[in-house]
This record gives sequence, C-alpha cells and structure tokens, in this order.
Amino acid sequence: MKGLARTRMRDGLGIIASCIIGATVILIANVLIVGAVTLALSLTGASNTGPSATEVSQALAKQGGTYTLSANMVRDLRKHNCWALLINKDGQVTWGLDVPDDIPTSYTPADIASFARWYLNDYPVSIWRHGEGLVVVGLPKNSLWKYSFTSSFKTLGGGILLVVALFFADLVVLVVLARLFARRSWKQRDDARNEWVAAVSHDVRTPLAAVVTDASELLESPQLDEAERVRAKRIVTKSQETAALLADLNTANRLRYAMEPVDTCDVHLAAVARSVVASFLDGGTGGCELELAVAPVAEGVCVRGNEALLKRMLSNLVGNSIHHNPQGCHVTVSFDIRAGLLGSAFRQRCVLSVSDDGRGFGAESLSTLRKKSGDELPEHGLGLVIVRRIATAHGGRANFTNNEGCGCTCTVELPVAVRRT
Amino acid sequence: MRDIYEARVLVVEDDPTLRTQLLGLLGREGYRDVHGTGTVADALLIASTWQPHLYLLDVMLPDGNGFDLLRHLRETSDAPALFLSARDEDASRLRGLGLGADDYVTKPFLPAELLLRLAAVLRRSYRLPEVLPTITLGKTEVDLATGEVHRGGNAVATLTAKEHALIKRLSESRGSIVTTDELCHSVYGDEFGYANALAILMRRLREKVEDDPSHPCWIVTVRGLGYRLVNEDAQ
Repeated sequence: MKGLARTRMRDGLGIIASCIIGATVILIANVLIVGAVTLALSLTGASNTGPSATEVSQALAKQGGTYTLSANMVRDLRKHNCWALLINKDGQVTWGLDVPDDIPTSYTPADIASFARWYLNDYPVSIWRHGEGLVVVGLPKNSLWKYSFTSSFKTLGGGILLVVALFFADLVVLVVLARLFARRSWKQRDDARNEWVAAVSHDVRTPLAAVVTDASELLESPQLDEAERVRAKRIVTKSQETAALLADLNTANRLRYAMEPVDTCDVHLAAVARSVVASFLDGGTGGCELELAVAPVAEGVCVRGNEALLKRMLSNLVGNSIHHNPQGCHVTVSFDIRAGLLGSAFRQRCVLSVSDDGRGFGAESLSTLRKKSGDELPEHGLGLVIVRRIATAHGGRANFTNNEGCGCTCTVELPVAVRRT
Repeated sequence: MRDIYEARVLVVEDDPTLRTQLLGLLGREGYRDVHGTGTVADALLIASTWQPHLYLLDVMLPDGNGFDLLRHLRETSDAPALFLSARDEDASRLRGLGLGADDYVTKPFLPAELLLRLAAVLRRSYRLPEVLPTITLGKTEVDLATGEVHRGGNAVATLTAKEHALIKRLSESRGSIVTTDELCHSVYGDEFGYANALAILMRRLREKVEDDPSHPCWIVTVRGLGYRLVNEDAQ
C-alpha cells in the first residue's frame, strides 16, 4: 500500500513538525511569561523587601560622636520591618536601629564570616562596608530565602547541556505520544469507515438477492413471452451489476484505508487474463471485438497477490472499454514482460495493457485518474480508480493514456514474483 | 439418506422475503424437508430437536452471527453448513475462523448456482453418488456414468479417466469457454506444464466423440483461451 504509506508518512511528518514548532513556541512563551512577571514584580515593587545594606551605609552619617540615619531611610526600614546596626572595627555594635533583642552586641571575625551572606539568628541579613566598620541590615524572619550556588564551569556547562538534551528528549517523547494518539484515531476512523461501507453493502445485497432470485425464477417460467424474458434477464443482469458496484466500492474503501490485499498467493497472470477475457466473451461484449495476446515469454509468470482482486482489476479495464463504447470498438488485452535492470531478471515487470480504438478518455476523467492515490474517490468512474488502487496495493502502478489516433490504453505494471513452467 | 432430496435443510435467514424465496426454491427443486427461521435462538432450538442434514446460514442475524451459530451447532452436530454471505470480507473471515464451513455463496446469488453448491455439499458430506448426466452431441451420446460413447444406440468407445474428467469439466460449463488453465487444473490437478498434454488429450477425446476430429463441431477451440462444448441448440 504505497499510496497509503505515502499519505501516512506525510501525516507523520506533519505531526513531527507540529510537535517541534509547538514545543518551541511553548518554550519561548514560557520564557517571555517568566520575564514579564519578573519585570512586573520589580516595577510594582511587590518583590521589594526593603532598603539594601548599601543604601543604609550611604545614608548613615557620623556627626561628632553620634551616628544619624536619614529620616527617609528610617521610614523606609520601618516600613519593611527591617532593622540595621553598625559593627565597628573591634567587632562591637556602635549603632543600631530597631535591633531585636536576640541579636548579639559584639562579633568576632568568624561570626561575621558565618552570617555575612546568610542569616543572623534566622534573620536574613545583608552587609556593606561603612567608613566606621560594617553596616548590617536585617529583614524579618522567614521573609527572604537565601541560597548560595557554587558550581565549577565544567559542571555548569554539563548542566546546560543536560537541560538542552532533556528538552529534545521531551520533544521526542511528545512526538511519539502524538503519533500513537494519531495512529489510534486513524485506526478508529478507518474501522468506522470500513464498517459503514460494509454494513451498507450488506444491507443492499440482501434485498438484491431477493430480486435476483425472483427474476431468475421468472426467467425459467414457461408462461413468459420473449419480451418479458428479456426484461427478466435485464433485472438479473442489472442487479448483478449493482452488486459488482458495491463490491467495487468495498474494495476501493478497503484498499484506501489500511488494508493490504489478504489471501495472497502466486497468481498466474496469463490464466487470469484468459479467464477474464473468456467470461466477457461468454457474457457478451456489446458491439466490441475482444482479443487477447499473451506473449510467449509471459506464460507461466506469476505475481504475488490476491487473485480475486487482480481479476477485478482486469475486468474493470475491459468492462470500461466495452461500457464506454456502445457504438462498438476493438479491444485488445495484451500481456507481456518488461525486462529488468540491464536486461536481467532483476526487477522484471509484468505489463498488462488494455487498449481500444473507441472514444478515449475525456480530459476531466484523465486528470482525475492521474491524481495521487491518497485523494478521495471520484463521483464517477470508480472502476478505474480501483484498478489503480489494486495495482498500487500489489507494488505496481497503473497508467492511463489516450491513443494518438483514437481510443485509449490502460497499462498496469506489476512486479514479477516467480516464473513457473 | 438415499438421495440429496431426502436431506433435512434448515434455512437461517433473517430477511423474511428472502427466507420465503429460499424455502420455495428448495421445495420446487425437490427438497422435501425444509425449515426456515430468522434468529440464532430459534435455529439452535430447531437444530436440537429436528437435527438437520444441512444448514443454510446467513452471516448477519438479529441476535448474533452465523459464524457463532455454527460454532454452537458444531458442538452437537457435524452436519455441513453453507453460508449466505453479504460481505466481501466474510470469505476470508470464514477461512480465518477455521470453522469447517463447507461452502459460501455471496449475495446476490443465482438460484441455480445456490442449488448446485447445495447439492455438491450434500453429496460430498454424505458420500452420495453423483448423478452423472449423459451428454448429447448430435447423434453421439456420452454417458458420463459409464464413460461410454454411444452412437446410434451402440457403444463405440470408452473414455479414459482423463478424457472423462475433461469432457465432464467442459459439460459443467456447456456453452461457455473453459480456459486451458482451468482444464489442466481439473484434469491434471495443476495448470503449469500440461498444455501439450492437454492438446494431445483433446485430440484423443475428439476422435471418440466428434464425427470429424479434424474439424470439430462440438468441442471447439477458442484460440488463445481454451475450449467450448457447444450447446445442442447452437448447432
């Protein structure tokens, strides 16, 4: 089912592309959102935890023997429930504002080193140099989370790489999941469609069986005159044609949606051609002359496939020529072998062609027939579309052309499976 | 059972029109004991008390499907079954199920075809002798039962087994072309490598049944395709 495989591959590539684009868009959107939120917080001051030690240090001045902090800074510190102190070079607290009781009044260098970046008695603190020592600004307990991050450049690089790799791994997982879901929905869609067509076919065939049974029995009736017999015969024939049409619809549907030919075996194509031509000659060819030419080299050549489908394919081709040329024409069915690569048996092909000298294809139907197999069924001319699908399902292809003078030629090429003698 | 017409045939078809038609068809053909029903439940009930010799089963029934029905029937009965299928997929499904169904006919079917299949299944299953006809070729008669060729009331030749198989196959499709491939398959069991043997066999058969074997008027050659046993009224 190359046609179907192509459609599926197209759909599959579409899924992969949409996943990559989708994930990238989501990533960019997330980065933008985080940036915007951070910016908004800083602009509104929502993330402002109070004045920093630097600001306090600049606002703290020594006048005579006393220290004074600007009124604005005092207000600002109090607004945020902060406290501040100044440690002199001997480690003694020489100035303080709203310092809690559990804060010591003298510090060793070791004490200072231990709280400098972290917490002083669980108060998050920041420090800054001052002309007289060190300014410490403390925030209320549990108001700020502080963590020191240290990493070697090697680890940092590895970490970044890991993040990138994880992103792509996530992307792959996303694609696989999307494909799995898509596959399931394809299958559901195919099953539903097949079931529907099969059910319609079933519902129509039962009443058709009743019609054919009655009409066939009427045909046998001795009371019927010749004209009535012809009409009864027509009922039988047309009912059978309707049934064949239903079978065509079913086949087209099955070959379009995920169905490989079932019951495959080595099919002797020359025998199929003889059988199809014989049944047309027996059943009537309208005003058409029908001729079969099997090249001696093609005798005994088998293709791998389903015999019923291959018979239908050839019947549709011959039937098409007869049906569209009620004025009569000459139909030639020929079967030959096209040599493989460099004249060898490798990639040898069976070439089945049905050509007539009748009306030929209209421009519209020819363009419909040449459309890719993934397209929807046409409103008319289902028979030849089925020919193409059967050929594709058997690893071959069908070609439809108008002859130069008049009429048309339909050629089906199928890979040779085996030659039996 | 002495002949196929003594067989009890149970028709399980949910469409009442078609069921009535089938019962009428079988009755007119000469089957004396025919019953019809439209559901799996009724079919199982009838089968348990009446014990049919052959089941003619529709695949889709209102309370189940023919395949499941046959599986149930097979628990108590070995009677052959012939399916009336309305879906193309049924044929492969039938094979896949390995139910041992004896044949299937796709709807819509020609009544004559159904009757032929039915008779063939009954003969095969109950080993009833096939009633072989006598083929009339103008003044010559070929009695397929004895394998003798009569002309003017006298036996003039006896057919060999292969000649018999050949003319029997042609007579089964009298009036229609039988391809060389089909003939080889019927006579030799394989369609490859017997083309020349078939031509020789045909020559011998014509010598026995035709007035002028070089210009046959009963078994005619259809060039490139096969042979046709000409209908009597066509002569």
